[in-house]
Amino acid sequence: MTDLVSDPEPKPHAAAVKAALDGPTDDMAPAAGARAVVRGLLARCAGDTARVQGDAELAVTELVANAIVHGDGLTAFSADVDHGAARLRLQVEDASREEPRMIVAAEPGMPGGRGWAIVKRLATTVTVALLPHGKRITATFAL
Amino acid sequence: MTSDERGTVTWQPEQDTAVVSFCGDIDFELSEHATQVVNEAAATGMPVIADMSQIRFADSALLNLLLRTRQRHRLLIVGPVADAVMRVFDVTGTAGLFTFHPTRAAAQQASR
Repeated sequence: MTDLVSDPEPKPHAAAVKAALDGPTDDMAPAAGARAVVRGLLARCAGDTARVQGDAELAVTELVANAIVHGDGLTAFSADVDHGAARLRLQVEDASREEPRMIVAAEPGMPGGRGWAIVKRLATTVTVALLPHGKRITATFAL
Repeated sequence: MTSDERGTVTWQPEQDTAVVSFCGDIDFELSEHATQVVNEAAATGMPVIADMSQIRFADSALLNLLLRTRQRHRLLIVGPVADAVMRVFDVTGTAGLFTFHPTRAAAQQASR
């Protein structure tokens, strides 16, 4: 958690980002909202962030989908950029304490699953923290 | 973000093919609707042409829809596909399962 302490960005930003999804966004689907948050954060970063943006938008969508479909519901989402460490961090919380599972496809053409495998392929780091009433998945992306 | 940026999926018959046009962000929240549209197109019995050239964002839900479709129907994809969309195929190792065509006309030609 030292990342937030060293983050030169004002702390309320992460809270504001979280609030953006808890607030009056009934017309905004959570995954679309999360993608918009990611784009907004990366727009403030220097350099060519096109590849990271694409990867982070895909990863956050897969995480939100899993939270809703497999995790008994999305309970929190936040995102922040640690400019010092040059990392984008996504945190997705759901209401299930069941760990994410990779679905091993019998053959490449078999439909189904893949979300968790995609997140693990795209993110620089992925960690799962069990919470009293669910879990939090933290994915970081090097900028 | 406004509702204008929600993705759309429609289909129409064209040149003895069923062309499914995707536009914008196509994610799991749209997948029930997308599945319905693709099923309608496929039910015609004509080759299904998935025009993905106007997709800004796609996730594994769209990939799975395409994988299910190709199992039972002739399916051709029209690009060019945005880098971020191609990424979904690349990171899952599924690009080789589909044929990508540079234009609708090329796909329709290939479908004959």
